[in-house]
Amino acid sequence: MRLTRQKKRVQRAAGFPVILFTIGEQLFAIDAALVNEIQSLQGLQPLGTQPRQFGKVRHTVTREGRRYWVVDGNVHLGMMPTHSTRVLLLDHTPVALKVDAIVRMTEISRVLALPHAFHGEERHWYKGLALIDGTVVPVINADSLLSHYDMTALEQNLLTLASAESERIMA
Amino acid sequence: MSAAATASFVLFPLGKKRFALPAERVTELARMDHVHDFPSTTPLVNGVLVRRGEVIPVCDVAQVLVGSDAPPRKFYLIAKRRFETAEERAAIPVTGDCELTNSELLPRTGDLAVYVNGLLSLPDEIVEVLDLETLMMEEAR
Repeated sequence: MRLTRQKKRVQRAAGFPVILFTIGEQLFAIDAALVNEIQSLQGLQPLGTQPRQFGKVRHTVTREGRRYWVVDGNVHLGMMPTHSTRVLLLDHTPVALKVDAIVRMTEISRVLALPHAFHGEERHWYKGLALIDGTVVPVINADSLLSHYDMTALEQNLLTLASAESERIMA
Repeated sequence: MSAAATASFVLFPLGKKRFALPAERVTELARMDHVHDFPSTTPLVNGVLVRRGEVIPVCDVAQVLVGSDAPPRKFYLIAKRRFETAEERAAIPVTGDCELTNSELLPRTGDLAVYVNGLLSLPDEIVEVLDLETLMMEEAR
């Protein structure tokens, strides 16, 4: 009996937890281990004008002294604007993802490879697909949200804006 | 005089026209099923089907072959596609019953689209045999 229970525990360990969230009507999943915290939109700081290629980052949020670049999920995935209510603060990088709603946490046993027929930006956006209760759910590739290069460029832009602002005040 | 070599082809309708694929590329004909779609940027790939646990991309080639006024699709023709490192099945929505035929593959003429591999001369019609890979790649350009 004890052995059986242990065996079951090992089988469960083969899966991993994901957070299910929506943007518009679309359900997505993200590896729960990559998410540090989920919070409301309270405390989001709007950014100044950003270069066009960084249009998906319009806010920052600071949590425990750490600043996160907030990536708008709609813009990142080329979706129509929707009503965002939550941000997922990632654990390994100062990036947060703005989404509409958190659905629940669940466990998936594996991520299916995105079929080769898909050869567009989605190959970068998704780690693959998960089958959850008969529904195909794209699993977000957190590394695709912002690269180190993007973050450096955003940082530089922010410094430039701050410098221009202080010059304006001094004048 | 030697007899012309014939091969098997699956004929499928898209509106008023019929097209063909080599029979060895076709694995099954399936009824319409729920298409799971999600944001993507690949032209002609509308989402995926899940069949017996396999995720199969839906490649709606009708828009290229007959335009946007194709009638509602009724079945999926499931065919194998070749990629650099793998082979993968794709579901092609078709508008009616399919038919298996044996025929000689006639060479393509110059003014046909690049994705036409050759022609079948059937009693009442000339049918274009498609190269699915070229068709999908051409549309992506």
